[in-house]
Amino acid sequence: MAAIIIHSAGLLTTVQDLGRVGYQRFGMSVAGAMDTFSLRLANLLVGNEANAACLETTIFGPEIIFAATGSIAICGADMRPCKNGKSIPNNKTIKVRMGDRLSFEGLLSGCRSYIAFAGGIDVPVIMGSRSTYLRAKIGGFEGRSLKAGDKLHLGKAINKIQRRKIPSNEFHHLQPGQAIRVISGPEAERFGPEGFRHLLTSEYSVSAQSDRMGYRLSGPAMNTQAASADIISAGMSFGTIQMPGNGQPIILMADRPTTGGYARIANVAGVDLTLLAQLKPGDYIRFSEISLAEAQGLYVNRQKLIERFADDLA
Amino acid sequence: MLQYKPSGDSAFIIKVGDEISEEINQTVRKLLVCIEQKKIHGLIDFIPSYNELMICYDPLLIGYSKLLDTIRSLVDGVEKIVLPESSVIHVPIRYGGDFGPDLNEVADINGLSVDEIIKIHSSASYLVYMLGFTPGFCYLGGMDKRIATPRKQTPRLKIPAGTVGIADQQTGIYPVESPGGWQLIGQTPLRLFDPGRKPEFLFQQGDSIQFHAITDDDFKRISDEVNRETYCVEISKQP
Repeated sequence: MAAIIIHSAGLLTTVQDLGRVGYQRFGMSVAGAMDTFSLRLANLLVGNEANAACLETTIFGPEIIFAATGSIAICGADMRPCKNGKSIPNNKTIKVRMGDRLSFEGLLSGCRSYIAFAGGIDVPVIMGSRSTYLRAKIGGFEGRSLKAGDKLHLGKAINKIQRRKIPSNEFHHLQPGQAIRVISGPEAERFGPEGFRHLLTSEYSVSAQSDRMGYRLSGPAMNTQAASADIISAGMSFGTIQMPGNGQPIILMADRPTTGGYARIANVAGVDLTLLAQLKPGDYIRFSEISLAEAQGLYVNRQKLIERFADDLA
Repeated sequence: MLQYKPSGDSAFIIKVGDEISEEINQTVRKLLVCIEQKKIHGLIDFIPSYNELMICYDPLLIGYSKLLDTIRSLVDGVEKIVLPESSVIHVPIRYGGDFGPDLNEVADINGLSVDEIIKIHSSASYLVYMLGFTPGFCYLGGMDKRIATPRKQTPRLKIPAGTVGIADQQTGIYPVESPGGWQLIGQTPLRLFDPGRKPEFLFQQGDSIQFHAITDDDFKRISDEVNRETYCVEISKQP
C-alpha cells in the first residue's frame, strides 16, 4: 500500500478534509481545513474528490519521504516547496517516486499549505470525516498533529493523472490595504452605528493567541459598556466575529466551539475565509461591509471558478 | 414573536426569546423537529441553544430569501408540534474523594455538610437545555442555589472525562479530558461521548439527568461494564 513517512513534522501538521458536519447540536466542532478553497484546489490537481483528506501545514512545513510512486499538489501558503532539494511550484501536479523527499525552505507568503496526495490520506473516517479535531483528540492520524516517524497510508488514486496546473494569479493572499469583507451579525445593532463603524474603520493585528480555534485580534478597543457584550450561549459559525466586553474582536475559525457567549457583531463572508486562513500572528487586518446578497453572489462565483478549473483539468 | 437573523452567508438564527426558560427552550426543540422533518434541500446542520436555533445551509443549493420563505411558512404551526417523550437519564456518580477533590470546599463555602451537598445535588432533576462548547457538554438547568459555588481561583490543567463540577449556579459533567476551573465534586463512570459507539452521545437537548450516589465498588463495577460495553444505562420516560 502506498504510504508517506513524516521525517520531520513542521510546526503544526494535521490531516484535514472539509470537516465533520452534522453533529454540532451535540457540541462537536466541525474542524476541517482552515482554507477549504486551497484544499479543494489541491485535491483537484491530483484527481481526488473535493473532500479527500490532505495535510494542512502551518508556517513551517514538514519533511516527507515517499514510500511509493504517485502524484501530489501543494496549494495555499507559499512555503517554497522542494523535491529532493530542488524547488517545485505550488498549484501544480508533481510526480513523486519512491524515496523522494518533500521539504519546505521557508514561508514566503500566507500561513497554511495544503498537500494533496493522489488517492487521499487513508485514515479512519470518524463520524463522517477524516479531519483532525485536536481539542477532543479525534479523527485524523491518532487524533493528533503529526510527529517525526509517523507513517500515513494513502488511498488508491481514482483518476489517471496528467500534469496539471492552475494559474496562480486566479487567487491570492490578502494584499496590502485589502479589507476582509463582513456581513453584519445577529447582535450588530447592540453596538449601534458607531460601534459597527469602529469595527470597520479600525486596523487590527492578528495576536499571538490565534490558532485553528479562532483569531484574537488586537486594535483600538471598542467601548462596549453600553452594549452589554455577552449573550445567552448560542450557535457560532466559521468566520463569526465575536465582540467580548474588552472590545477586542475574536474571529472563530475551523476548530471553533459550536456555541459561545459573546455577542456576534459580524461574520466574515464565506469567500474571504480563505484570505483569513492565510493570515498569521502579526499580520494586519481591516474589515469592510457587504450585504448578505453580495456575499452569497461572491460565494456562487467562487464555486464557478472552482468548477472552471475542474473542467480545464478534466 | 420569532426573530430571523442571518449569521454570515451560510447560517441564520431563529430567535425565540431573550431569556433562559423551559418554555422558550421547548419552542426551540419544536422548531428543530418541525424543520428537520421536512428535509429541506440545502440544510446541512443545526445548532439549537437555550433560546434560538441556528440553521446552517449551503448557499450554493439555496439562497437566504428563498430559504426564509420556506421556513416561515413551515413554522407557523410550531406550537402545535408535539415533542416526543423526553428521557430521564440516570447517571451514577461517585461523590468526593479523589473523584471529587473539591467536595469538602463546596460544603465549607456553603456552610453545609458533605452529605447534605450530595443529597441536594442528587435529588434534583436537571434539564439538558443544550449541548455545546466541547463534544457532549450539557448546559443543565435546575441546580439548587444552596450549593452554588464560585469557580476555582486557578483552573486545573487536566480534568478527567466524566468529572462532575459546579461553577456558580451551574452544574455539569466534563465529557472529555480538558482543563477547567469548575469545583469538582464527583465523577461518573459513564462515557458521555464515544466516537466509536452508536449513538456517540449519551445525552441530547431536552433530556433530563438524575444523579445517583454510588460507592467505590459500584464505580469499579460500572467502569468495567462500560469498558466491556455491557453496561445498560438506566433511562425512564417522562411526557
